[in-house]
Amino acid sequence: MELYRLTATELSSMLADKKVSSAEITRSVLDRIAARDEEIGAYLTVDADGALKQAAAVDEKRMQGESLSPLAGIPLGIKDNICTRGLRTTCASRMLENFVPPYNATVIEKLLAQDYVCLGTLNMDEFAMGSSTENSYFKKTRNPHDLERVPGGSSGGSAAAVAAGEAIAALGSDTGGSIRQPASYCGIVGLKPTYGSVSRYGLVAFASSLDQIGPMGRSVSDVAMLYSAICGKDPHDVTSVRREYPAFDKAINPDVKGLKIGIPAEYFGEGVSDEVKTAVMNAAREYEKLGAQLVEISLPSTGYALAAYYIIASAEASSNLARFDGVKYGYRASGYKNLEELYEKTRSEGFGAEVKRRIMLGTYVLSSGYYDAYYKKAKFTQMLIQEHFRKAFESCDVILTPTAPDTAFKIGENINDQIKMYMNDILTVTVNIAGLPAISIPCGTDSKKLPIGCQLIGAKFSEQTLFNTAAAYEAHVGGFDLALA
Amino acid sequence: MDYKGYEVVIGLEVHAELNTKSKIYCSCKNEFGLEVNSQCCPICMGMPGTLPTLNEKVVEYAV
Repeated sequence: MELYRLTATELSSMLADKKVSSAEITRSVLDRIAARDEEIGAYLTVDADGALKQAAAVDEKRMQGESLSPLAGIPLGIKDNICTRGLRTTCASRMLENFVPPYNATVIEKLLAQDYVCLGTLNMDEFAMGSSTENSYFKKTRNPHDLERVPGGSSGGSAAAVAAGEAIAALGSDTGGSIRQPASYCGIVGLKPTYGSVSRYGLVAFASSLDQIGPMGRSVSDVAMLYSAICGKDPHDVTSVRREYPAFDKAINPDVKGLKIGIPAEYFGEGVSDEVKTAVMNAAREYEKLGAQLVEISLPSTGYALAAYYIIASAEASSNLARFDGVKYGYRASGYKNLEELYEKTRSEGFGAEVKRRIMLGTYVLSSGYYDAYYKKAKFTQMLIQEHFRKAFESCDVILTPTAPDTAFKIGENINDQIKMYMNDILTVTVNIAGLPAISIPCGTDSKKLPIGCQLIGAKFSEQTLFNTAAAYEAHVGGFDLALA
Repeated sequence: MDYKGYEVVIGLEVHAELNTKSKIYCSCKNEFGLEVNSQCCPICMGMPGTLPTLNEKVVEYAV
């Protein structure tokens, strides 16, 4: 069995037993990247030399008898909106085409302290705006299960790399579903952590009140392991929360006897495909066999969530992207005659169409005269959504829904239909608005053999419950199909 | 000119620079005359991904 096919959990154990070296694992993954990535396009920057150097250093430490963390020597891919010192970080935008950060994101510092191996940076929708990775300035990423189809977005490169064996696991980011939807499309596991549990310092900001960095992998244990490695209070991020964060992967208890699983009618409505509904309800019935109890619940504000999300996210994005002006870093247009033209040309040429669309939308809803009608209303809707979830968790422990309304669509199919594209997020955005944690796990395939994902939503800081619940299903079905695409 | 009917109103807008040791959002020195570019960091440069952390003394002095 080739090393690139194994999970981080398996490899960690083999490394500890000295059955394999990090150099061997890293070479296996790099060879796989060399073999497949021209076709799949998951990576923007591959740092083969750096990865092999890091692997050798970890192997040396291990030989010297140093006690190492579970992630030591495991090669990971990093979504290209997470700053890595010395390694080009582009956010898949022309605006940052040659930007090399002079600092590391906090999550990267944490991973470095645990001796991870960095394979390189992964493709995404530009500035995390999109649901298909088609909005990348540099290249399209293809779904390893069907190369004519999208891997989802915006963490499409991360999902595709993990699914194709081009990374043992990866970091993505999720603002409206950007970890969960691509995890669903590519048949892997992805967690959007509770807002505040993972530091955002070093994550190029899209929507500050919604963004979270999160782990993506081939098994629940891998995702839990990676989450444990990156979560925690950070003095650099005042929105990060101080609390006890245990080693989640070590505490997984795949027992759902007596667990109340809420099924919200609003998430199984018209827009969701029949095959997806069937697969998710089948998963629900498997949970019943394992002793869980299904509870019908209602989340009435669901219909307003998408609109509220696009207003809030775009408003925050318009503020966060105001820094890209060609002055201190990034792309700078030529041929400008004055400061205003510098700004105008730089931003017109540096940003792609979808980014410009959302900046304009965001600026508009915040402008005087429209602030009350749009932004203020959206914030009230947000409060309503949070309240409805709070109420729902009075009668259940976790909520089960489909992750996406359908399976992966064809490249180019939705690119000109913004509304259709935005509808891909309809089942995931509520979670970001409420700041809750949610995990997507594979729960079958459709008639086209494309992966279907189901989403488990929990109350704030209930990641252990999510891991336990997800692991129960995973064990019941004999593990997720790791026959890599 | 007869000024007796006028009331003088003088307003003072005072800008007070806060005497903190470090800047408002990062730990760079709040000092003048140092080597160029030696007291700036990714945070006060507004680099992508950075976040501000409010200097407690700023609040104290401002209030």
